Amino acid sequence: MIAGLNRRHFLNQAGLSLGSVALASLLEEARGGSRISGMSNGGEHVVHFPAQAKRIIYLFMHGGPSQLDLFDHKPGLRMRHGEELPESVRANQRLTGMTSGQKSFPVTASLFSFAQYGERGAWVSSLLPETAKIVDDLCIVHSMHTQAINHDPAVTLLQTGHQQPGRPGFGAWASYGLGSENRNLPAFVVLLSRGSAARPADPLYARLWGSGFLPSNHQGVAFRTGGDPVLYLSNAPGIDIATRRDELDVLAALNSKQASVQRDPEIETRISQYEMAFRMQSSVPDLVDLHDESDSTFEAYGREAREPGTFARHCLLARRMAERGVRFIQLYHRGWDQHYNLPSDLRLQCRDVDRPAAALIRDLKQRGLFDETLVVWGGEFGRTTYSQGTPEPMNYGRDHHGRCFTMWLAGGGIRPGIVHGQTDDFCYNIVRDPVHVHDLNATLLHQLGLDHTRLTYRSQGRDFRLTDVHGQIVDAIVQTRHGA
Amino acid sequence: MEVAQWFHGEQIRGIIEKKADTRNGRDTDTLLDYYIDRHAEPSVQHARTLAKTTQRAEQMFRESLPTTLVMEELPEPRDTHVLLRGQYDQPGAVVEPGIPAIFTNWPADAPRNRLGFARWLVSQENPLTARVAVNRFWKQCLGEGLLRTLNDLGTQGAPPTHPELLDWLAATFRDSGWNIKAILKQIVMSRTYRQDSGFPDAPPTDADLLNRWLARGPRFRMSAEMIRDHALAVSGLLRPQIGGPSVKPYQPPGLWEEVSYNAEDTYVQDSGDGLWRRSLYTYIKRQAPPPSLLAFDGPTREKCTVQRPSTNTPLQSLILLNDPTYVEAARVLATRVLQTNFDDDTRLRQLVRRVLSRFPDDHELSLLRGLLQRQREHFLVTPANAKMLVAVGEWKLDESIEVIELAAMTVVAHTLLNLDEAMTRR
Repeated sequence: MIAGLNRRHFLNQAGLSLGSVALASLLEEARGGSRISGMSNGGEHVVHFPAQAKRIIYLFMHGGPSQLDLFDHKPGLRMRHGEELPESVRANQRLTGMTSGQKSFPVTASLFSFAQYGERGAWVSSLLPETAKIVDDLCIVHSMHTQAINHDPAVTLLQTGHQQPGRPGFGAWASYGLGSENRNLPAFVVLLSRGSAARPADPLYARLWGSGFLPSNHQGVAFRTGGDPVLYLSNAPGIDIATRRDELDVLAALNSKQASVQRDPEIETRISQYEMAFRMQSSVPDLVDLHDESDSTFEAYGREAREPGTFARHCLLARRMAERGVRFIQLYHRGWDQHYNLPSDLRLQCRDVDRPAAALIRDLKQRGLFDETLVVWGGEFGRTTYSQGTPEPMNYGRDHHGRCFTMWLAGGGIRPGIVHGQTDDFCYNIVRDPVHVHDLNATLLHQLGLDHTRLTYRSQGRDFRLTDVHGQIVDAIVQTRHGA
Repeated sequence: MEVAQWFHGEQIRGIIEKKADTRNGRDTDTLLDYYIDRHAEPSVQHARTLAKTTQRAEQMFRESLPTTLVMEELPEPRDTHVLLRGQYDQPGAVVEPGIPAIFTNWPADAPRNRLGFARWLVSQENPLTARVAVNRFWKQCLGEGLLRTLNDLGTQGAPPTHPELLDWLAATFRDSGWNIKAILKQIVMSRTYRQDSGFPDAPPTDADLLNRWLARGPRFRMSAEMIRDHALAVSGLLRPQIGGPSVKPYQPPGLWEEVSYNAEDTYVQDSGDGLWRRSLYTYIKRQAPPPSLLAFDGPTREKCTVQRPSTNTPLQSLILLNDPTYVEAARVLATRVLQTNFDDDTRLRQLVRRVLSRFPDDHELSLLRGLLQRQREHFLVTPANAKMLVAVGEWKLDESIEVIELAAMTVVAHTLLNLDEAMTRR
């Protein structure tokens, strides 16, 4: 390194407050150094406890899957089917504009049959036969809740800790807090797939994987289905590897010359980043090239895994990224917004994700990655117990419902085979162990070894956290550590 | 035709049968048209036609003018409440327009509204506005403000390193009639700004590595917009046109479809001038902003961003290496120097001068000469590559230049555009 300037000087110059390990580790990684564990600010430990998970795979069901038709079994609703939802249950709570004009709120039982699975008899609907087989590995949380009632604010709250846009998402925080485990791949990767539901999918926003006020090296890199998997990865037309290498060598020589005159560590970093870009040009194609995967793997994830852009393909890619040390792997599967035609559309959505998600869990276990990889499945909210519009014998729809919804977590030090929290007989309110969005995020950060109250970044005059000023770690779903 | 005539006749009859005071403006107009058309003097008919044409022209002119929303005070201001814990349905005490109590000098004659506030902002007694503004201009030129927390000049902010200078600049700016161009000129012509940013001879124990005391010139990576504009400008591609609707330069296909409702939005790339306007004019869709903007720390426009972070990432390298914007700019640069009759060395020197605003030294020149020579030989054996490379971008190929030569020089120009020095202000 250039005399007189070290990493700390660079961090200070970048105007960053608390130990910016991500940047530091980016520098370290770019220099081929070892990974930094924990967070430090000039030798003083700021955040430090042993991580149980090295990475997160987030299977995001965008639109709000119906907990009533998938996990939260309410057999009592059959008796009340078509009856008005009692005022005492709804208690004048705020509804979305899509049903607030409805005169009637008829209780609508699920059309789908449920059965109990696993050692503790967790209920799972017939729509998720493969998920049902792995319930002993899952922690099913019935008592998730959020105050947001529409997609954009709800997704933004779940992922950035605030309903209004502008803050970094979970993946960016993870990258900031922990840096990268791989010298040749980004720390935060995003994979987008469209669902099979007939109803058009709600819009997404690139800011969900943006870095907000964090430096842009923490941005999620959206892998793409057509063309380059990473934007601008392929050499420009007519530039072959020989030309590129020659160009980069001359570039490095010219840059180094400047570095010796300017004594600016940014130049050395720039040289390293060009080399990393060059390495990404082979590491990323290698990552997305599935030729070395066996037929049995494709069978496990489903034949859709052979098609680029499917959720099944992305689950397989997620496993490959986990193997290569990508810190935060964010999948979005779109189309879970069943306002109407729920029975037919939900069946299609579940068919997209059930087998691949279960295969992912099994695959991670088989490869010894399950304990260090935390998998999250769920959407931004749940759906109402009453029908949107008038229910027909074989058809109904459900509106957004934030007062209770179901997510499942697996691996990464989460207690397996348990069901956490309970909702009332109507699946409208939570009666036991509520888990707010902030509680979930605090818990996920905890599993990564980060204290959600101390992972902060100063912007516009104050320190921001992923959990804003909230969040309680949900001890009941976390495995107790040995010796802890 | 007959039906139309009959209908017209019936319409006139209907109007005539109305009482005069129940006819509306359009009725009267139709009746007048009818009368003049059939019974008036030709000169009157002509005048009527002329009047109508002029009216139509006026209307079309008015419709062509852009409109903007203007806010106006209500005659009776509505009550505004403190919202308890921010809840919209929990109004607390009524509050009045005003400024924080720490600032006392609201002009006596100024109304208690936005107009009054505007007068207070720029009044002679208020030093804050000018201080905030010049601090940001200083940052634009020198990379950091005289007061480094640009958005906080209060008690929580950093103290200014040069308070007297800040005040002097603020007063000069205010007294000049808020002349931005003049103050920027003053800053960039100062000796401080024009200093060299290198410090090869400074001891390793330099007490001011961060250059807070401005003993050296500024250095900082240029913004996302400036990096692109710079490549366009040095190649001569930049279109200088000011204003007008936003434009859509090169962008990989499919980015809008990936996130939009039902995948129904598509980015339709411009052709011609729209590809080479300043980045200021690039169309920004917040849902899917241009990736090259985001990679270089450009904000998503969802929150006011006074101070952007400045990062250094492999994604930036990929963009500068492979985005057609830079490949095309390199080809145009190469074309310019190849259109001259100079020898290789002079052309290379010109190239460096254009991109870095300086000439190369002998070592640098030999590195570039080597690259040019090797690429020349390489393209001689891979002529198809040369053809593909010079075909990148819409800018018309100069057919008079030999393709192999052009491709080799394009690689050299492209290397220069990728230099740290080309994207850093030093």
